Amino acid sequence: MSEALLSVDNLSISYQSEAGMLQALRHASVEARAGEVIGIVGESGCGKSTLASAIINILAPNAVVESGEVKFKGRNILALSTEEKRKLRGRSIAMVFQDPMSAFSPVLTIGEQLIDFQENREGVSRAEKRRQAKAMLARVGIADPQHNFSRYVHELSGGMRQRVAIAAALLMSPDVLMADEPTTALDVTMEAQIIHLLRELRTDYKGTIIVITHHLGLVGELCDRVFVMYAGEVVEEGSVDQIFHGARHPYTRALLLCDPAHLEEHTPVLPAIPGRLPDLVNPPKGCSFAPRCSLAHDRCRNEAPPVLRINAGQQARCFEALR
Amino acid sequence: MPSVADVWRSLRRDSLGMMGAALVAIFILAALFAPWLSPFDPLKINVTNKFASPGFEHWAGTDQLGRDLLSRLIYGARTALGIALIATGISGVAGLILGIIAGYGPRWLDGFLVLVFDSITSLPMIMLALAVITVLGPSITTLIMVVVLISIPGYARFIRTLTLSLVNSDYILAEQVMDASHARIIFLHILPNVAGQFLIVLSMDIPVVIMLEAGLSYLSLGVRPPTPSWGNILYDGYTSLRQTPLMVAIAGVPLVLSTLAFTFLGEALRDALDPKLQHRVLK
Amino acid sequence: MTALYDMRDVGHDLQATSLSWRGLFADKKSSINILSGVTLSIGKGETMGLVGESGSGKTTLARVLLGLKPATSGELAFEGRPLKAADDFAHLRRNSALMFQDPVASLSPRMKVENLVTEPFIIHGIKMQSRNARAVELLERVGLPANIALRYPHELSGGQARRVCVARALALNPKLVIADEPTAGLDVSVQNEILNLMTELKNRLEISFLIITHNLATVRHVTDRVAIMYLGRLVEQGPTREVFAKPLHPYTKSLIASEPQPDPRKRRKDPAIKGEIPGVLARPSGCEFHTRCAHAQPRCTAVTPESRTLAPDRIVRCHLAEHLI
Repeated sequence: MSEALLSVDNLSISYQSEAGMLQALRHASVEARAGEVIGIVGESGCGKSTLASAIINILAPNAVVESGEVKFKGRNILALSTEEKRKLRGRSIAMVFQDPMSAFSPVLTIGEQLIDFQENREGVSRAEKRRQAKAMLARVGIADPQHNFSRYVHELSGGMRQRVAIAAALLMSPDVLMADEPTTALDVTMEAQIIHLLRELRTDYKGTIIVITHHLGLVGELCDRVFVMYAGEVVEEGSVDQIFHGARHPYTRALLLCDPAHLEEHTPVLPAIPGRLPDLVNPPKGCSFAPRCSLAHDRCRNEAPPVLRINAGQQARCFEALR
Repeated sequence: MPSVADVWRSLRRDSLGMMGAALVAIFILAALFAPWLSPFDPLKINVTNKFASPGFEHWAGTDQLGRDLLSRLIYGARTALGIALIATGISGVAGLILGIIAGYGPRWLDGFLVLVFDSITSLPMIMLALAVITVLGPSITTLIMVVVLISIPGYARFIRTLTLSLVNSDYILAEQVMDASHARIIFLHILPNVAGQFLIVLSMDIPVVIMLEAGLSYLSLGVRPPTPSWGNILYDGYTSLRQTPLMVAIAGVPLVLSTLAFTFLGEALRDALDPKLQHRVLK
Repeated sequence: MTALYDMRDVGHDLQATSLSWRGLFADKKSSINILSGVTLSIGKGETMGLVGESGSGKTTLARVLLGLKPATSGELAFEGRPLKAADDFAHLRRNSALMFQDPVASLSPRMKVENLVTEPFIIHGIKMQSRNARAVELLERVGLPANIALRYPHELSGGQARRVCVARALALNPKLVIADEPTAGLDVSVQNEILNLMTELKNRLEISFLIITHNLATVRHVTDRVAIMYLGRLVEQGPTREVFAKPLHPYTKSLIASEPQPDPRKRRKDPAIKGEIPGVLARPSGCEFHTRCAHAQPRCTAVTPESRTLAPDRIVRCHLAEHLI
């Protein structure tokens, strides 16, 4: 297997809050290789947004990196200067947000913005940038790029906006494309089309795509490898097939079971995970899922479980993972 | 929506805001307790002791009629704040009522009211003020009437805009689904949610009224002498500039300080109540 | 099952007045057709699902149903009583409740939960021994602890705010509850708790629900019957199980096929449906769906299909339905 393009090593990030240090991310490790689609999945409060902001280097001012690093092509990007960080964003690591409206200016046309996004490319004429931008719009499935070039973001539908956002992110041919809940704001039919577009882009886009979502359907349709997060930790990782068909961590299993799309038959009483997320200011000393886990025993409550390797590419943070 | 405790916490971190609040408090206390705080009667003439320099007896000196300047300034605070609060209060209440009627009421009424507001706003303000004063004669009442007349349209428009955005909000619709009465919707759901922002706007306008009062009094179109007003004192100082430059300088101090104080306080309150700055307070 | 609420051939046109003088002298009037020919009935104790993409008019339908927007054509009836005068709608609203998509936004921000959930009693002049006691009782019914009563809406989590809205909706023991996207913005585990709560309350209190959503997975498990809406028309309705097992309308088929599968072994090759829902301003001729339909024929662009009953309780609005099964 090839060397990792991007790797997060044992990263812990806390936020200063009134109640104390909120441990949003704890010893998280993620590896992404070129050409892969990585899924980072978890419910709200699991730390996936913190992980995303660490990767694109836009941590909130009250965030403190307690330990670990984010390596991109072998360099720790958390230690870069502000100027170097800025260069890295957009050029090497690009982002697509849940609400594409926020990424565009309402007063400039789409075309003007797509040309402006290429400002860092030196020695390229404006006409060439324009040509590239139009080619990219066509690439993401926008019919009539010529016409849409001179429209404003608010004139587009949600699905079209997300296509334009993807085009903007891909313009600088970044090595890493991060997509934060790219389909959450869309209808099912649009969602299916965006999934199809991202999947199809893989034929000529050689970088890594990282999808951050709470939506298991999106992960199942799109990803190669999956990292499941709970309460700031990566609790299980594996190939998409290993996760969806051979999950070992009780949380992963509960999450899969809860997805109503997973249940084939009409089920009047839907499964749920009882209890709630632990307090991240004082996380439990044992396994963070133990208070909600049906398999938990005394050891789980008192001792942090190790990461156990299950088989090639799959590992879980659970004492019972090998049973 | 920030609570009172949140606002106070955020205000305390803002040193300019706290300074403004302290100064505002001092001015209000001076205005309230003027008879007890003033060392002399502000109207008592003592021609033998005119243009006295600041000293032990007269801390800020005396004016061209030998009146104690400090006492006149303290009473001037009473005039300035009194007019500002009464005028802002009346126009605030009127603006609130008209704004809510325009925003919540039927569309034809809204159209009519906006037309009226626009017409008043389109009149040249200074001309309007001068015309009213010329007809009615300069007095404190006239001054208040002028301020009220020119501020109502702005306040009413502000409240109308806030009300319109609330009327389209889910929680007002929820009330309508429950068949809540109009009075209930207005008093329980609209009023409390526009009041905070409106109070800030009003507090930022108080220095404007203070300035207006001083300006008009300076031009002999506002408070009539001998009633002490910062504008009158400034005018007296200006006419006596050849005898002493001190009076103008001293009379300007409270005017500048009060304007700054209200502005700092208003800005600090606005920052404290701004929902966009709320993410500072983490869950 | 007897019908609790009946809609017959209901339409809604939006009167667009040109903005001259802010409505003072409104002249030029034009109207945009938002809903048309909607026939729907909700049975007693039944959970009905209303599915459609954004822009399909499902929220407008809910507003028309409650009399918040006028039905410009057709008839409405609640408990067999036609809804015409303001009194009829007041009676309807006294016996129904609406749950909004964004629960926090539907709660007045400067009121405490105890006052919010007991508002219906105050509004309808129903006496309470103690406001707090009644609030705690209502909160208990939806599984919330008593201390929630003293909180403000912004201090609640998404799931808690949702439950507070359920508690308020059920305060006056309504016969009909309309829930607009009841699971929007919730995590899967919490989402299921809310759906289970609604199902349980429905069974215990004999409430009819109309669940408006674009989430098919939700509809499949908790509704008894389902209606699919496209651009202001109901294109198909029937018992949920049958509709999911054997959809009759091509749109229903593609909606079901569009849903992402949480199973990498079932990945689809192509998106099931291309293009986007056209706007109400550019309503296609004939069958509205023909611009995206894989089976469209010349007849579909020319002739608007009528609703037809193909099997007991299976209604579809498509010329070709029987040939496509």
